Amino acid sequence: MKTPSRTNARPDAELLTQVARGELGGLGELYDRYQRDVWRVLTRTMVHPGDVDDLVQATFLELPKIAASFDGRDSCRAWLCGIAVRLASRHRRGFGRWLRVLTAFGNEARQRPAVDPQSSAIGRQELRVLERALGKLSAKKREVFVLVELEGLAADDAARALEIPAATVRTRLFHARAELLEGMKREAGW
Amino acid sequence: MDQCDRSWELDAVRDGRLSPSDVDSFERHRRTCATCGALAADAERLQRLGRSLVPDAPDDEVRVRRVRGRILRDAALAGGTAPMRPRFIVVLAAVLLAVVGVLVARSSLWTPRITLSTPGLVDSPEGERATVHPGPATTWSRLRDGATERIHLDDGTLALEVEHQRPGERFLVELPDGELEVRGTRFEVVVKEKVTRSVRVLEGRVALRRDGEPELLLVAGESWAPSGPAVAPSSAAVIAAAPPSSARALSPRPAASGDEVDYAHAIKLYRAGEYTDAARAFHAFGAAHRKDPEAEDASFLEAAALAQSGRGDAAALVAERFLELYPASIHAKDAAILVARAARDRGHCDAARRVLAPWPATSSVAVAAALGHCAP
Repeated sequence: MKTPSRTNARPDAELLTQVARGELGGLGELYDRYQRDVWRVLTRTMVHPGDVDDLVQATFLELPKIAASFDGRDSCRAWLCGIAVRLASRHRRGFGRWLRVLTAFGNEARQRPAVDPQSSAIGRQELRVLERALGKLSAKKREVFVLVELEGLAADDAARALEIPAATVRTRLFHARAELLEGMKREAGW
Repeated sequence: MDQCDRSWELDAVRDGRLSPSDVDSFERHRRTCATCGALAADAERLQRLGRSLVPDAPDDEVRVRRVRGRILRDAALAGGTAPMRPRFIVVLAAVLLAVVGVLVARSSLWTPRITLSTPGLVDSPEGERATVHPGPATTWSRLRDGATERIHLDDGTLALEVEHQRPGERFLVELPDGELEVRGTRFEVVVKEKVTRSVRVLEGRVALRRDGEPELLLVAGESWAPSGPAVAPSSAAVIAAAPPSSARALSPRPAASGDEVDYAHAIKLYRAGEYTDAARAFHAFGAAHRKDPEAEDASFLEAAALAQSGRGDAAALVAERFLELYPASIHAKDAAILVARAARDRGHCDAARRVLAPWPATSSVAVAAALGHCAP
């Protein structure tokens, strides 16, 4: 995953310590560093496009409250992604909202242009099929698939981020992948 | 597809759960096992396709920066109402008891009073040149943003002692229905139910800007309340006469324009590279929607569009106006760069350095480039 070069940058743990003390400079720096990752993971977990900014904001606003609980590792990216996914999950509860997300995502799938030359080459049809298949996954399986397969987190990191056992991550990932592949084979001729 | 007992090792390899020798063993197996080979290929294909579903990052820089501003602002507001430390609570309780005692002794209804010498109610972090005295149950927060200090008063009473601001510094009290700006003063402001109820000035002067109303200057001894100023009309002056550094010339909200000016359309023009039209559209939007949160972005983007269209001097003029209106904006640095570039090109190095003074040339490549040969 693309992460900006951070030569001479202050470590995440130091910034989070600052945030825990109520110094907002650290919060701004963490936002600059990880807003793209948080935005992407929220979009990939199929948060309604109109809600993504609010959830990005909510994710970073959690930090002053929980920064002290960060375990001090080199990067807080996985931790932040976990916060974002959990907030999205909480946000999604509510059947009406969920239906709106599915409907909107279906429309998005039809309307969204290919996002880069690479996706053009792969083919819009396959993308549409995968989006539909992702939409049919349960939220729990989709969250794991997004964190591990798309965001590149190790299963242990995803487990920590989602606050579930690593074995559960692996099980959900296995089933998510199987269901997606089945959909791709059935509808896209893989 | 046939099953293979070793398929689970695909994920184990990726997670780093296998020893190097086990990894070698599995890789040898994978080359000869059709099931594992196919599973690995499918997983990779799925991953590649999945990663191309969503762009790597949002493409709207203005939106990204607006969210940043919202986060910092909300975090600052939350910080101002964060749970208090036990020692502070004890001191506060003692002070409140003392205040109640005094009020009872005087047998009068409590009215907001400035309690400048009340210990324990003072908020004056080291290095700050203003002291804030919140009244009981007042909800407020404090945020320093570069040379601008902002106090946000949501509800309650604040008494403030503000030392005289240095050149380039600003001190603002944000109110639910407007704002106050001071240079150096002692004053009190009361907000209740999202409405400013009173402003009372003991020393110095205060500029009161309520939404949709002309700016009002209150000087020592004067007060203001919504039912009508409690001051002699002759002693209240419209701030337009005050020095520019403290007098942001706000005019009353203009009548709603009949023309529908579309911010999204302006953005579209900008993205399409039609910068002249975009600048015009942003200007029109800003003029018609001064109170709209997007007016700030529109004003900056007007300057950016002019710069893109090659009209550096016009861009600098618009950027200068932008800096006057929104000195604490998230776009302030970029606007200052536009001003500095034009000044540099005119050979006015002093002006270029002055406008970029808050951002040293070493702070970013863009600042250094804007200063060019004018860099100190």
